[in-house]
Amino acid sequence: VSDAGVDRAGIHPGAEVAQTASGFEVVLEAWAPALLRLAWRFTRDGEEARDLVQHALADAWERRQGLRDAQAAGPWLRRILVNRAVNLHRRRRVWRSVQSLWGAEETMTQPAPDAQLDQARQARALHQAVAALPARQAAAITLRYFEGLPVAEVAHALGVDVGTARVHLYRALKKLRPPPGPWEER
Amino acid sequence: MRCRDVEREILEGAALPEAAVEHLAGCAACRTLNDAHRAMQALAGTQRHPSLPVPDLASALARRRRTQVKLWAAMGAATAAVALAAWVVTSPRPAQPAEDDSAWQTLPPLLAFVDGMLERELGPTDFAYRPFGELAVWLAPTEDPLDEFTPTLPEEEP
Repeated sequence: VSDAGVDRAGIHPGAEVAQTASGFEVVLEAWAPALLRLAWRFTRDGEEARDLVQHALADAWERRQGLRDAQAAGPWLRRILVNRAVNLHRRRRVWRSVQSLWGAEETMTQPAPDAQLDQARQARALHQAVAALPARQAAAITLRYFEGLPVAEVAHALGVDVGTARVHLYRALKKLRPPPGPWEER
Repeated sequence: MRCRDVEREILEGAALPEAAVEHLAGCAACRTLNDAHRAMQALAGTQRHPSLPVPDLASALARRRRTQVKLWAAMGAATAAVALAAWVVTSPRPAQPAEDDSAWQTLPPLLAFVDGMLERELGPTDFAYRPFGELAVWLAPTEDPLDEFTPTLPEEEP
């Protein structure tokens, strides 16, 4: 999500834009594609990503009085979406824990050590590794590396200070440390 | 540079300053973090997202309304169920009639009657009921019904 999205949509950045219902609707719809892309990075599933964005749009509509500046709409919307994504991630982790207690956890096939992994398998393995992280660490990694945001914006999206965001990233990287060679499914 | 400063430089992702590069050469922990950061950047750069239909605000709000209606309906049903249960528990019950102990008062005479019937000495006339069974013998009236038919014999003259 970048502020350029607003400019491309031709929306005049002013406080009055977001304060009227139609103006706010235009702002939301301008940012919806970027939000959908971010949601997909979190979920890796088209339907779930659309669900996440729908919830975020409805949340944003209900809290629209909190948006003072239309230029800040992007980070503001992203923060709402990230909140939703973090909650979803937490619920999934709990569900996976319950499943593992019942022995219903999906088991990964262990590839041969010297197997050449293609890009899709690497991506899937990376996503599974990120999904196994605590919610905020996973969100920090997604925002920093997949979305390409600087640490300060990662912190804003997570609603934490920059130092805390750095700690999340540091801990996540330590857990995600790839083995030598290609990233293998673990 | 200290490890903390180098970690900050690594996580920011900018080109590392000369001092950080020198630090990496002698610090295995920071070097490992730097490797992980570079690997993540390389892998994340290969991720492509599919093109998906973008949800619009109207459908999002309609969905939210449907969810809220369902939520309110569920809450209403739950409240009604709780209220009904509370009403059933706390409502005054219809007055129960006072316990009639007359049955207990009549029991001793009844028992005495039965007892009298069963424990009396059997007389010769009781055995007249034997053809009707042993029970008939025991249920025979205490007074001999044949008494009234017993002819009164005239007194013998001396």
